[in-house]
Amino acid sequence: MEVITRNSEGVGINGSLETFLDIKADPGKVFFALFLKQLHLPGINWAYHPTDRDMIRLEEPEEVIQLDEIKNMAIEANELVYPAQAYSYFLLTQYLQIEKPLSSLFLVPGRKSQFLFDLIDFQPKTEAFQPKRNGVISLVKGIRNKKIIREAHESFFVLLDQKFGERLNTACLAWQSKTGQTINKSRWLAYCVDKDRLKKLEKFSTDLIQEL
Amino acid sequence: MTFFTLLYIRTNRFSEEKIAVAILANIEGIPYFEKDESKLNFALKNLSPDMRKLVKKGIRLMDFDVNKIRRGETSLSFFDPPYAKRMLKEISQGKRGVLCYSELYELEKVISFDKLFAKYIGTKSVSPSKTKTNTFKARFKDYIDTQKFAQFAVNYKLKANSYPFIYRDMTIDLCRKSNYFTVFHTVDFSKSIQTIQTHISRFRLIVQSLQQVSQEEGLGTGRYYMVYESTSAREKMELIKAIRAEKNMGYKIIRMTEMKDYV
Repeated sequence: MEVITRNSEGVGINGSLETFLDIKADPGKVFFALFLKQLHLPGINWAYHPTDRDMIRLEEPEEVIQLDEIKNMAIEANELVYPAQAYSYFLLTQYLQIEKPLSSLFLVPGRKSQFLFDLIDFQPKTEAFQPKRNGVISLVKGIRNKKIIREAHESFFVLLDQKFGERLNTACLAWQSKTGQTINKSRWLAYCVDKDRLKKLEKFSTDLIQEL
Repeated sequence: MTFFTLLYIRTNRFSEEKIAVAILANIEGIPYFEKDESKLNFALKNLSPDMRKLVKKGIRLMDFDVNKIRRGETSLSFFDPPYAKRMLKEISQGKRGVLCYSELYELEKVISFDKLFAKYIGTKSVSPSKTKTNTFKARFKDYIDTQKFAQFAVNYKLKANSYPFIYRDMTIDLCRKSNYFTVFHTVDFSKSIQTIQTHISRFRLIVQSLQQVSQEEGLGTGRYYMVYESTSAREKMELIKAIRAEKNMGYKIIRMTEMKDYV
């Protein structure tokens, strides 16, 4: 993974001409990657930087569309391999109180397209949890088979269990050893596995599915 | 006020090669989108067939949606103030895909869209406003060409001799007579204030006249709608607001797109 050269935007390539982007290491991004993995959502490949402890290295996707409010309209659920991933992602961004999740969503073209999820830098929040609809929900509306939305809903609340808390704990330790930066572990763990928030979100999601 | 962003196709992330294929602008509150077909085709050649398909579709839908308001199909869009600038600013932050935007550029002056297009994209654009549905009346005609309005008479004539308060023949755009009159009549707010004022006065006469006839014939009071389309000019928006605020006029002012809700 040795970078041999970089362009003016900081995008680097290695000897195999694979493209990378080094960004500031942030616990939110690292834990977000863990959430994606836990929920079986394909995230951008990343690794701790081999030499710089303040950075992480992302494998930069080459041929993708980065979504936004306008491009979003071009996507139809029946042209996606896994449309239900949009709902899992919607729930995740609600749970982590992420304001604008749409631009962290990439579309990888294919006979049927697939999502690729970027790492989002979230922070534990103290304000009251209030789930609400956002731009991602429009991707879900086109799913005709509501059963797959219900399944995405059910697996979301099953997968974020106690075991996930243990994985987060391990990730916290890895973060500290790789970056040398300490974090408030108990605060992060309490925020990432918060039963009250999960419960509220589950209720919100149950009601929402009825309306979709 | 003019603000705009350029839409690029970036063919390679590392080499930073990108081709400006379209422009997305907001000029005085009106959204514009135009692409250069030849540059787009050239850029697409560098992409995989699946990506090509996706980009083409994305641009087609963008074109369709952004220019909707100019075609008179909708009066509400992402670009309606006060969201327009925020929206364009937000989308122009996404720099990582094949389709990416430039920064949002802002100018105090109002610049014609054709000028902007020619300067930054390169080829003279064909403005959608010059296509066949270029007048409000024509767009209105297209809009009512559905089953929903099948029971209405188009260009309903009011003869001066048969209707009170009017001294020359008048035409109503759309009228249905049942137990009461239902009237939709367009007022084109892209015209001059004087012309608009004349048309409003005529419409008021029509309403008064039909109300009188309804009373004489024992019909209900009727439903009368002045139909308009979004306009970017502030003074005309103020006028629309003022009409909307007026009470007991016997008619309502509605957007063309709202008509179907009042049938």
